[in-house]
Amino acid sequence: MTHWNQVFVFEIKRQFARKAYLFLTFGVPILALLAFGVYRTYQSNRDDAPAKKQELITDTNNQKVGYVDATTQQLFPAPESYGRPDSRTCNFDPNAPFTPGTIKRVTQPQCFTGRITYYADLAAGKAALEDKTIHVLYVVEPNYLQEGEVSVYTKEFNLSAADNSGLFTDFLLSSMLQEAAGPTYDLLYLRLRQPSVVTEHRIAESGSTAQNEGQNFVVAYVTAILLGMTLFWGGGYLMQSVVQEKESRIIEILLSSVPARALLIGKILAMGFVSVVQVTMLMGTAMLIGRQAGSLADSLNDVEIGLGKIGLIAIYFVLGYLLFGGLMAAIGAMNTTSREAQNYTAAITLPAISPMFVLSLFVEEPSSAIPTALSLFPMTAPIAMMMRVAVSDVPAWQILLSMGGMVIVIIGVLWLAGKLFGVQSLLTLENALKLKDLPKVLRSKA
Amino acid sequence: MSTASTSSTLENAIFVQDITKRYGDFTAVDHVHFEVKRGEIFSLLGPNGAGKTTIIRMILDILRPDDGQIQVLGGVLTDATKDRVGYLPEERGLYKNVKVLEMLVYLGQLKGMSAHDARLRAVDLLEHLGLSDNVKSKISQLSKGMQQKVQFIATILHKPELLIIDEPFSGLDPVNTQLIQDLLYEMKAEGVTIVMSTHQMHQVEEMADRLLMINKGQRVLYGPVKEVRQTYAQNAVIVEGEGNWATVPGVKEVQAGRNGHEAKLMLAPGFKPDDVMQILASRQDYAVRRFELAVPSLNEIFIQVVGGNGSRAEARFADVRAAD
Repeated sequence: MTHWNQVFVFEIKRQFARKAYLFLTFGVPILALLAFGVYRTYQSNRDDAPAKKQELITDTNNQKVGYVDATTQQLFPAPESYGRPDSRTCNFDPNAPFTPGTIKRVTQPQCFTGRITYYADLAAGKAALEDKTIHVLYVVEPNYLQEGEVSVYTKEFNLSAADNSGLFTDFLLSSMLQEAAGPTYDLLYLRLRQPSVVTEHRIAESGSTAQNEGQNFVVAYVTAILLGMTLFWGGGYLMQSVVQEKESRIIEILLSSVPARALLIGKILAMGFVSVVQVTMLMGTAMLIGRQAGSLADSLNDVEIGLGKIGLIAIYFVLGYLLFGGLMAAIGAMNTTSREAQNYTAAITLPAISPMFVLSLFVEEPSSAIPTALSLFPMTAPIAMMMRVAVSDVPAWQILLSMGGMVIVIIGVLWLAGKLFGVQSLLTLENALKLKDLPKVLRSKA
Repeated sequence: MSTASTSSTLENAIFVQDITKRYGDFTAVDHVHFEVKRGEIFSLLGPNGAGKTTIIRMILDILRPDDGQIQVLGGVLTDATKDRVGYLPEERGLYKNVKVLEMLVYLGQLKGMSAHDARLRAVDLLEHLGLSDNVKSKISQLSKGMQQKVQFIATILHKPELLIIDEPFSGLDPVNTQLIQDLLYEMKAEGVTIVMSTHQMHQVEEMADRLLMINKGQRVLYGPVKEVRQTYAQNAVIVEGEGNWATVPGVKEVQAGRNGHEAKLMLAPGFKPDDVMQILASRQDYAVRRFELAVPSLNEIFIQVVGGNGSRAEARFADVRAAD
C-alpha cells in the first residue's frame, strides 16, 4: 500500500492548521486551566484571610445568620451570653495534633459570636431580615425537643440557606453538648455532624468481596466516553475530509497518484489521531482540574486495572474507531456535501453509543443476556465489551467471537468505503449516490 | 505478448486495445482502440459525454475497462508507473486552506518525489510561471487563473514521461495560455508524450500531431491531424482578389466567402487546384491576392462528424488507420 503514510502526515498537518481545531484542542484546555487557576487563587486568598481556623464550624460564605429561640426552656441562649469569644480559645492550628477536648474548646457556643445573631422574638428577627442585617433567620419552634422542628425565614429565594443550616446545626450541637466532658463532646460533635460514612461492597460470584469494581468501571466508562467522542469528532472530521475531496475537486488528481484504499487508510488513521489528541487534551484537562479540585482524586486512587484488561480495552478502542471511521468515510463518499452527509451519521453513532443507555445493566449484571449480546454484536461491541471487561471477567470465547466478528465487519466496511471512495467519488461529483444504486456500484469493476 | 506487440508497446506510450466500459445498460466506451506514440502530442476530441474522460480514467487505472486491455509506458499501469505519469483532469481543484508550496510538495511526494526535491522544483516552476510571490499564499487567496497555473505545476512537478491533460487552457487568459503552450512545446522537445483533451480546435490544429475523435463512446476519427484535414478537403479553392470567378475554366460554382472578400470556387470533375492557379496566373483580367486549398478546419470537421454519421466518418478514415 503506497503513499498512505504521506496522506496520514499531510492530513494531520492540515487539521492542525485549522483555527477551530486548534482552539478546541489547545485553546479551550488552556483557558479552562487559566480559569481554574484564577478560581483557585481567589479561593486560596479567601480561605487564608481568616486563617483555616474554623473548619470544625461550617462556613456560611459571608451570609449572615440569625435565630430566635421559641422554646419555653430557652435552650439556646445567645452565643455571647456564654462569655467573650477569645481568639486564643476559639482558634486552632489545623496542623497541630488533636488532643482530647480540642473540639469542645474551639466549637464552644461563644465561638459562634459574630457568626450567628440571637433575636429575642420573631418580630425582631423579621425586622433584621427586612433591613438586611441578616440573610436568613432560623426559629427553634416550641416543640423542638419533641419534634426537632426548626423554621427558616428568608427575604427572597436563597440558595445559600442550605449551607447556613450547617452552621446553625453546629451551633445547636455545641449548645446541647455543653454538659458533656471534653473527649465525649469531641466524639459526639463529630459523629452527630456526620452520622455515617457509607462504603459499598459487592459480593462476587465466588463469595469473596469484590473490590475496586466501581473505580474500574470509572476507567471503562471514561474510555467508552473517549471512544464515543473520538467517534463523533474523528468520524465527523473524516467524513468532512472525504466529502471535501469532492467539493474541492481534488479527488481525481489524488486518485491518479494514490490507490483509493491507501488514501482512505491514511485519512482514517490521521483523523483518528487528531481526534484522540483532541479528546485526550480535553478529558485530560477535565481530569486534571477534577483531581486538583478533589472530586476525582478519591475515585481514581483505588483504581487497580490489570495490564491485560488495559490491552483489551485499547484493542477494542482501535477496532471501534476503524469500524465507525470506515462507515463514516463510506457515508462521505456517497454524498456531495458535508451537510448531506451529516444526515446519515446518526445511523452509525446511535448504535455505537447505545450500550451506554443501559449502563446500569453493565454495572449490576455485566454477564446477563443484554450486555453479552451487545458485546458480541459488532456495531455495539466496542463500547459494550470495554465496559464488561472493566467490571467482570469475560469468558475468552466471547472476546474471541466478538473480536473476530468485528475484524470481519471492519474488512468489509473498509472494502466498501474504498470502493465508494474510488469510483463513487468521481461519479457523484454532482449528485449523491442513492441507496438503491449501491448494489450496482459494488458489482462494478472499479 | 508477441514480438510485434512488444515492439508496438516499446514504441507507444499508450496502447489501448478494444476497450469497452459500461455503466449498467449505458455503454460509455464501445470497443475503442488506439495508440499514442512516444514523444508526440496526441489530441483526444469529442463532444460532451462522448466518453473521453472515461477513456482517460481507464488509462490511469482509476476505472477498469469491462473488456479490452491498456498498456501505459510499456506495460500494465502499476503504482510505480503512475509516478511517471502526470494528469490534469477537467474537474480539478486544490485544497483551499493549504499554502501553495505545501500543496505542491504534498502532490510531488505522492508522485514519489522527496519533499526536498519537490520543494526545489516547485519554487522553480512557480517562478517560471510568475507565481513566485505566491509561494506562501493559501490557494483560496489566488485568482482562478493562478489556481489553474498551480494545478498545471502540480501535474508536471515530477517531470512525467507521459502527460495527460484535460482542457488545459480553460480559465486562462491569452498570455497564460501562451505560457502553458510554450511549456508544453518544451516538454515535447524533451521527449515527453502529451495527451490533450480539449474542445479548442485551433489548439489541436496548432499543437497536435495526431488525434482521436470519439462520439457516443465510439471512435469516429483517428490519425495525423494534417491527413484528417486533407481527407475532408473538398475539390475547391479559396481566392481573394478581383475578377469574374464564375468564368474561370474548371469552376463549376462560386460560393461567397465568410468575410465578404473571399470566394470559394468549387471545381468541376477533372480539374485540380493547380490547373486553376495556372489559368489565373496567365490571365491579365484577374488580380489574385490570396489563393489556398479549401481545407476544412477541425472545427468544421468536428461539427460535420459529430452532427452527422460517425460510422461513415470512420469508414472514410479506414485508409489512414491502415497506414498506422
